[in-house]
Amino acid sequence: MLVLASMVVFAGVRAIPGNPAIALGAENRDPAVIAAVKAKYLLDKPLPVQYGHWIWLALHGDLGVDQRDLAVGHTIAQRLPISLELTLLSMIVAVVVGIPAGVIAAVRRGKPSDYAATGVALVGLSVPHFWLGLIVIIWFAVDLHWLPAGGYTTIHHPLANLQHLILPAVVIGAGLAAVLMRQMRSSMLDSLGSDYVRTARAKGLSEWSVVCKHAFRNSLITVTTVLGLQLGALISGIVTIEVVFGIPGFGSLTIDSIMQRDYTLIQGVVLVVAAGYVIVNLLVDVVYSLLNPRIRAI
Amino acid sequence: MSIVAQEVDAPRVADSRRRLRVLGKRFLRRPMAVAGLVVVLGFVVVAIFAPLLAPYPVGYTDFNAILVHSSSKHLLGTDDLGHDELSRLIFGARASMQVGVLATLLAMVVAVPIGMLAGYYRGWVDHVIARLTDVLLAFPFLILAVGLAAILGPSLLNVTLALGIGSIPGFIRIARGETLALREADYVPAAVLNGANDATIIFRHILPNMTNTLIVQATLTIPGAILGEAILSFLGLGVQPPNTSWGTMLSSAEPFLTQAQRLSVYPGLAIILAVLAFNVLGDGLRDVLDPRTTR
Repeated sequence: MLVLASMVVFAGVRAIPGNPAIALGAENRDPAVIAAVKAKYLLDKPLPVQYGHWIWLALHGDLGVDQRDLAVGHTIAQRLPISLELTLLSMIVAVVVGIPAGVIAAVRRGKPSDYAATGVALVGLSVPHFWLGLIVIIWFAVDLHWLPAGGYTTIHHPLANLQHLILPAVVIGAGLAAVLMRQMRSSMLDSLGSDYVRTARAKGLSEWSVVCKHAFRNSLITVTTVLGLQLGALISGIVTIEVVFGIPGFGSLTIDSIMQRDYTLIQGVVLVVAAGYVIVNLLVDVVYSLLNPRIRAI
Repeated sequence: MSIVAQEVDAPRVADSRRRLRVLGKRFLRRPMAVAGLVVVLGFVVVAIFAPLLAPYPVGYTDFNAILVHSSSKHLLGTDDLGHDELSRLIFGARASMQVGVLATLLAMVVAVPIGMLAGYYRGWVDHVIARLTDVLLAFPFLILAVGLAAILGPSLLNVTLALGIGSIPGFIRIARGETLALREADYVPAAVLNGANDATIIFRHILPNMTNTLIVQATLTIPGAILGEAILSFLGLGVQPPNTSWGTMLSSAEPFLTQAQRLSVYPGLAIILAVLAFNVLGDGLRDVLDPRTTR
């Protein structure tokens, strides 16, 4: 599957208009220079040869060099941890907010707190990430001067690092929390209406134990799957939010590479995204089977 | 033969009318969904009649009123180039609705037949299609759309194409899943016994039975496309000036975050309202059309 994905990336990148050899030769339009550039980047060879060359090196961990002669693998290794940290923080925000909100809404179904949580989640689904980003910049950075408006500090300065990442993480986490909340609410309602919950109640277990031990654990199964499926949305959120907040992460690298028509960089970036997607889906399957004994038994 | 067909058809027409009435009643009992529908229709009307409703034409610049606050002349003020904000919002609605609806239609027209072929014939056809869909789904929707927009070049039409193509894999998966389930229904062998060929079964029997799912999915894809247009235009890959869209407005408002925050607020609120209305409508339609998920 990754092989197919890599071919799609390769073909897609070649379809971007504009001649990279001319772009690389800068002002120099001398045919000899352009030919030399083409030869250097194998642009004069047929596409299958270019693809074969690229994939062969990629399998050996070498993603080639970009237009500025920097190793793509190295650039990605530099940028990726920043985005992973942001992803982790966003997920923490989403889980901490979304899951309890979903449980409360389900338990208090039809009461004001349910309507409030459901309503907020619905709005949360409809807000464009980058717009929310702009608004929180206006509030917390421009008006209140509490937090920096953007940029990034390395993890070696933990406090400054967190100050830079907390706003973006909350913005991305808010959207994800809305999805989690809705999913949690509906699967909790399913669980609470099921036979085993009635049995648990009938044998006199406390409401706390019914909700937390029986219904909650079963609802987590569906929510885990949904969390995995949300990865695409999460990546989109990270890409736009990194651009809005000027965070030099993997997302802004993706946009930069596309804007600059940097073939090797785009290929490397998208390949990493596709690989990450496959790995996360695998992890979701593993977690799923850990949470759901019925699947483990098979 | 024709007499038999009439006898069969007559009650069917009455049935479908009664069904529509029941569904209509169920829909009207959901105030949120009705509100969503009203807002959506409102946006559609604004989009269609934009040139009549907007106080100023596209690209009209008032150099005597740059970055002014709301006044009787410019109800929502003007931006840094003296464009009337209200007019831009109204024309932006046109761009957003156009992208949302056309991209979704494009995705459906391409994806549904492919998904149905895969689900109906199974075997190697299904294998190839399902594998390709998985590959496309491995690219996040936005990355796919950004890449396509970069390939095609920035314009409203190309954004529509990019978002439509980006929505195809999801629709293929849904059409395939529905077809896989529906082809096991009892009426399929019954139709085969009646001498129906594959095309008849697919288009007369399976397709009508999955319209509900498709309508719901479409209502939920449109807001995704509206958001997608906003993001692409914000990144500079979408609608280009002097044409306007909500995303373009946000993009041009970003440098003025400190001076004129309202420039960022209005288009954002418009996007939220439109997307929210479609989401609420979609949720309501799903509850009405698909009794399995009704809670």
